[in-house]
Amino acid sequence: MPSVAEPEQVIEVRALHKAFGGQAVLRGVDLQVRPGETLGILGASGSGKTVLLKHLNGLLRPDAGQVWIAGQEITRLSEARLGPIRLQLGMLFQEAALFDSLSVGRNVGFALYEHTKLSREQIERRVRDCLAQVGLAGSEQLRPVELSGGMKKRVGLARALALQPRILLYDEPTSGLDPAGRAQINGLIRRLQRELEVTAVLVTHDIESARQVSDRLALLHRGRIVLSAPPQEFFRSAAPELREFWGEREQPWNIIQA
Amino acid sequence: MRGPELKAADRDRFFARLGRSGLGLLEYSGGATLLLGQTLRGVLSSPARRWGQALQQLERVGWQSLPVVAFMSFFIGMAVAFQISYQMHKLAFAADLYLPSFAALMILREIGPVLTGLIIAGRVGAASAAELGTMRISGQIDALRALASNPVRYLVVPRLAALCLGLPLLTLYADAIGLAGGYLVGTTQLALSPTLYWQMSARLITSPDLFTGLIKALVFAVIIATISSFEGLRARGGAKGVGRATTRAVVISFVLIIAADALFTAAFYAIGG
Ligand SMILES: Nc1ncnc2c1ncn2[C@@H]1O[C@H](COP(=O)(O)OP(=O)(O)OP(=O)(O)O)[C@@H](O)[C@H]1O
Ligand SMILES: [Mg+2]
Repeated sequence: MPSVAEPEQVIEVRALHKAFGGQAVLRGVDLQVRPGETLGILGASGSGKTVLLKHLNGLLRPDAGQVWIAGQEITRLSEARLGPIRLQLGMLFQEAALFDSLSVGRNVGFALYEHTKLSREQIERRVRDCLAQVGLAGSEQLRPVELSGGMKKRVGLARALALQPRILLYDEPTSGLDPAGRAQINGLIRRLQRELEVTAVLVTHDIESARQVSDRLALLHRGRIVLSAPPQEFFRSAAPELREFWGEREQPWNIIQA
Repeated sequence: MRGPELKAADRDRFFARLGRSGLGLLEYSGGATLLLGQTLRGVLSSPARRWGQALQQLERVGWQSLPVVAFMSFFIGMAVAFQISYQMHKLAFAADLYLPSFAALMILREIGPVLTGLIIAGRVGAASAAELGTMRISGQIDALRALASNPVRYLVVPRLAALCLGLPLLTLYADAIGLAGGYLVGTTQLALSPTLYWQMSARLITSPDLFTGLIKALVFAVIIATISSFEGLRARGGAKGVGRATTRAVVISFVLIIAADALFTAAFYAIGG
């Protein structure tokens, strides 16, 4: 077992196992993400994509296996020690998870108020920028309950961007958005890659946007990464797990055969 | 042949259940104590802006509870005065003279702190458990952690601070209104002169009774803050889970408040306080 991660990996996951009450969700996940790379993870609903993502910033602790972030093994770090690492990892939650007692502006600026010494004006300026980036300029005063699902998602993204993290974890960034909103978010993700060289892991059902923004795609199936390749190659693969993901099992001839 | 076997199985099951609930109790008190420890440590290392949050919470604890606390302590103060004078009349002549001091004793040591504690456990403890539970199941607690904030410091510390400040103050307020209820009964129904009534009560107010009651209130505040936060932060299983956490927060706070009260009273009299 090597004791240091290869420095060229920003994220490295080794033999990750996680079960909930006897139900195994992750059964030996291995993956690597290089600096500046965006890894898209596809997988059926309930396959454990969100669970996997939550291991990358220590929100969940594995039963076995390791998670290395920028050369540091994080699975056994205390919450306090995880703090500085989490500040470099922006996370967009699947359900947005906005703080509903705070305004949109306070949500986006949360980490800036809590963890930086920036002045109020500086924070407000940064919040304005982040909201503009996700197409919600001027919505600082709104309350999360006043937002639609897609708007919440975008505020969640703005909040993840506020600290200018080097690594971003997106859980279904485009679900619940209309086509224009989706194009806008895809554009934003690409711009972050290009201009800030952000390293990212993107979990999604949205195959089209996964194809557009990912440098590499991985398929999570029955608790393991069974296929990992650049988009072109990925979609040409004849792996049976991929066909199952596409839903071919549901096609009549499959049922007749069985 | 099957009789004793069955009994043995029953017995085993009984002990297994006993063992499990014993472990559960241990786990629960361990978890709650741990949370309290983290919170106390958090109080010491909190930045100044937490005080703003504590003040917000204080408004919920204190200000908004004033009417209901006033209403209940006034009427209980009256009821206590009636009961005392009725019982004493059966025992002694001119018993009304003891009314002010007995009523004051009851109100300052027991009724004021316990009644206020129960009201606040029902109002504020329940609301707090529901709020934290909702935050938990909607992923807001995870979001706090992902943003490198400590949920205990951000959410529990201000609540504990507000309750520790607010509950003793509310108890003082309840004491005053309860005493006024007793005074009303004593002066109108029992024809004690107002000056005599105040003289008799005042003798007690300078004694440790008031202080004892306030110490109790402080302990109740710690109980309410700890239990409601603990229940809320570990809620799971959707809206139903939040409901369950809220109910448990109130019931467990009630039980602990009453138990702590009995324990305290016994301890105070044992050490002659
Ligand atoms: N906290 C938890 N406790 C118990 N089971 C859990 C928990 N979190 C996730 N699971 C289970 O783990 C499995 C994977 O869940 P996960 O949310 O990762 O799926 P997903 O791939 O993100 O699905 P979707 O695409 O629908 O979001 C599910 O069966 C779920 O029931
Ligand atoms: Mg998910």
